[in-house]
Amino acid sequence: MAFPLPASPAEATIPPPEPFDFTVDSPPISKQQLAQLSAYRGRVNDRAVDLNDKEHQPRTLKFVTFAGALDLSDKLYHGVLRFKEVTADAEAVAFDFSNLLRVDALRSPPSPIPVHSEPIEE
Amino acid sequence: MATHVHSRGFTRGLGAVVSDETLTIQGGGEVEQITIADGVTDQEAACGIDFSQLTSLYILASVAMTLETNSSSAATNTIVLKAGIAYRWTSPGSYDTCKITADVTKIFLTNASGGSGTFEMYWGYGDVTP
Repeated sequence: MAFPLPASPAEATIPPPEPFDFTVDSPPISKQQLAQLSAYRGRVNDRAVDLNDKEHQPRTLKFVTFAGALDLSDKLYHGVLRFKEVTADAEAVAFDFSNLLRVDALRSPPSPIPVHSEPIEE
Repeated sequence: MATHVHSRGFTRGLGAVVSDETLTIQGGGEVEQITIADGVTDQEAACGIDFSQLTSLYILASVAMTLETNSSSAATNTIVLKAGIAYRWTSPGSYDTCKITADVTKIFLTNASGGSGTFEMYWGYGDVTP
């Protein structure tokens, strides 16, 4: 009796992946961090952030997902962070993207300390 | 009784068939096709593999996934599955040893591929006959 073959992956009903606009290299992450990242999906930046050679105003950058695979040599997931540019989203939960895995590229550069100098009068 | 059939072949240029193998195994079990959403870590599925009897194994994930056996924190075996590329093993029929090395009572699946995907797994115990 022939074993009933399951539907091939191409035939299976799989929701299309959420669209994204660009990716940023992620540092290797653990499985626990991967689970934490999942909770951040759909959130937007709560403050301006420089990313992908562009400054993104608050609530205009959405974290879509992490995409990668386990590397057995170090047991960490290697991959990228996917982002989507959005029109100011007032509904989405906002958070500080600098906490997103502490990715250096995501950190907003520290605000320069304003320096006011007066010409020294002699 | 389930019958699992492994088919694989190799065709030389100009269409000359060098090998065309078909291996049949009677009996075994399966984890029917399940969908694992993106970002899911350690989704558990029941599984009962008696390693001492194992003669055939076929695992397919439509996206990159990680399969861990028996425990999500201290897995007996960890298999990194590539998208759409099945892991196949038969004894006889494979040069390498099986990536499963002990009994399996449950499996844990992690999908960090960036998209939802399917997973399925079939194993056999009977004689592997050409």
